[in-house]
This record gives sequence, C-alpha cells and structure tokens, in this order.
Amino acid sequence: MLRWSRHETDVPDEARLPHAAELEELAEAQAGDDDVRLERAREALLDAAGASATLDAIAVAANFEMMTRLADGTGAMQTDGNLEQFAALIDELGLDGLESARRPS
Amino acid sequence: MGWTVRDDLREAHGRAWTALAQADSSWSGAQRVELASTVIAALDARPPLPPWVPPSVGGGVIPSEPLAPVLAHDVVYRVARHAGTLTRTWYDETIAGLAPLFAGTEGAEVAYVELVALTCQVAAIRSFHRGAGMAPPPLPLPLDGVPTGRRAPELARARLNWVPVASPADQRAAVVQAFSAVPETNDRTWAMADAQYMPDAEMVHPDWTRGTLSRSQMELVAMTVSRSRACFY
Repeated sequence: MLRWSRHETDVPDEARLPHAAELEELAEAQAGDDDVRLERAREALLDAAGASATLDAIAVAANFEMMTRLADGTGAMQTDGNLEQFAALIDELGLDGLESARRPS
Repeated sequence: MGWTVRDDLREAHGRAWTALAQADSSWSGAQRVELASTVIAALDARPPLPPWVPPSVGGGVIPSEPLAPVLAHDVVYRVARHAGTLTRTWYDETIAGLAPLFAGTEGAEVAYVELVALTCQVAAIRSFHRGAGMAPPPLPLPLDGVPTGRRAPELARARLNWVPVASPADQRAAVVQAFSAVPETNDRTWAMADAQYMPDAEMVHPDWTRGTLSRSQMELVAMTVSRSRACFY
C-alpha cells in the first residue's frame, strides 16, 4: 500500500515514515523464502536504523507470521462494523479476491 | 551479528518452545514434538508442496510410523505453508476426519485448535531466528505424559471463527478469542504477541513505542507481512 502510494506522489519516503523502504523490504523478505534477499534486507535496515530497531522489526514480522496463521487457521472474521467501515479500502485494494476474505454469515 | 534479545521476548519464546515437549489438552509431548518437526519441514521446504498435495501424499515429511495421526501432520503442514488458502469446507472435512479419534466433533475441534496454535508458535519462533540470522533452537526432547484434556470450562460456537471458543463467544475480536478453547496454549500465544509486537493493553494507544520503532513503523511491518501471506483479516 505504501509502495503504491509513493508512486502516486512526489513525497519522498523519509518525509512519510523513517526507514519505510527498509522496513517494508525486511518484512517482505522475512515472509518469503529467499534467504539472500533476507540477509540483504536485514543489513540494510541495520545500517539505516540500528540493531535494536532492526531486531524489534524482525520480532514484529515474526508476530505476524503467527497472527496470519492464527487468523486463517481458525477462520477468523472481521465484524460487520469493521467490514462496513473499511469497505472502500477493501474494494480499492481488491482484497475480496483473496481466498481468506471470509465474512460472518 | 551479536544481538541482544529482550528478556521478555526470550522468555516468551523459551516458554512456548519448552511447552512443545509437554502434553497439552489433546496431544502428548511426543506427538507435539513430532508435529513441530513437520511444521519446520514445511517452513524450510524450497519449494513447499502445493496446497492441494498434503504431505501424507507428497511423501518424505511424515515419519513412516508416526505417533500423531497422519491427518494431524497434513493439518500442520497446510497451516504452516498455505494458511491463506484454507476454506470452511476444508475445515469441516478436517474435523470430520479427526472426530473418530477424539470422541466426536467437539473433541476434534479442540484438538484442531491446539494443532493451529502449535503451528503458529513454531512458525513465529523460527521466523524470528531466520529473520535475525540466528541458528534456530533444536526441538526439545519430549516429556512423558498423556494429554491433559484441559479446555475452557464452557465452549461456544462463534460467529466470527470456524472454531469453538470459550463462552461467551464474539465478545472480543476473532483473533483474540481464536485459541480460547485451550487456555494454556492461548496464554503462551499471547505472551509471545505481547513481546513480539506490543502488550495487549497498549493496543489502544497509537503512539505507544518501545523506544525503537514507532507504532506506524510497526504497523507497516505488520501490514507487509499480512499482505505477503494473503491474509484478509
């Protein structure tokens, strides 16, 4: 989403969120299978943000490796209110096309 | 890289990892360690079996004489590798397959929740070590003991989850109530979340930080992983 948004504007990354590109790359690499990409991403974030921030980012990514499996493994669904509140965003991002786009019956 | 891992994070991971070796509600310690090995095989596979090929068919992952039912291995492999592809039909078929082993549907569903929780915990701990470039911890040796049968005092059907949850249902977010049928596993999971992400009590504070990443930076990482894993929730 942020990657898309920065193509749409001339606002540089650092004016939006510090180290956004490095954080996004680390998170994508940690969720993927390419160990070389992950090592490069980790080194880039280390250079940009330091060890403590990098390790905390790795921990947050690990948490969502857990939470995504928790949600999809237990068939977790958003409430009707949340789905209504975020309907425009869901539509804009095409999220209803995901197999995991469950809705309460 | 010589990392300094926070005490709370090290303790939460250590507690969950040690518990793999202990009998929990529906599975013995030996079964849990064996199933954790299948989770690790799924996570490490390059490439993994596709979603429509369970390891019981794909071969090479499940021991020839497994302690846990083959279906349980198929479940943890699928959740570990392809959670975003799961459907209600798959869940119902899985519970129907487990039901004869657990004296009916409710026992099967509680056993299923424990399988998902085990998978989630192993996946997170392995992801943390892989992310940091650290060697993963070896699996613990299983401890003797039979499944405890402990579960929430009263279970309820949830509108917001496939799985049953501790009564009353749907008073909390679906992810928060998801593992509540198995309280000890649930506690270990949320202790991990508190340390990996943020303490539950701080969720309502948009400016909360550990002093390293801002909340916005944390949410960027969370969103990116969720997108990569095709998780709608």
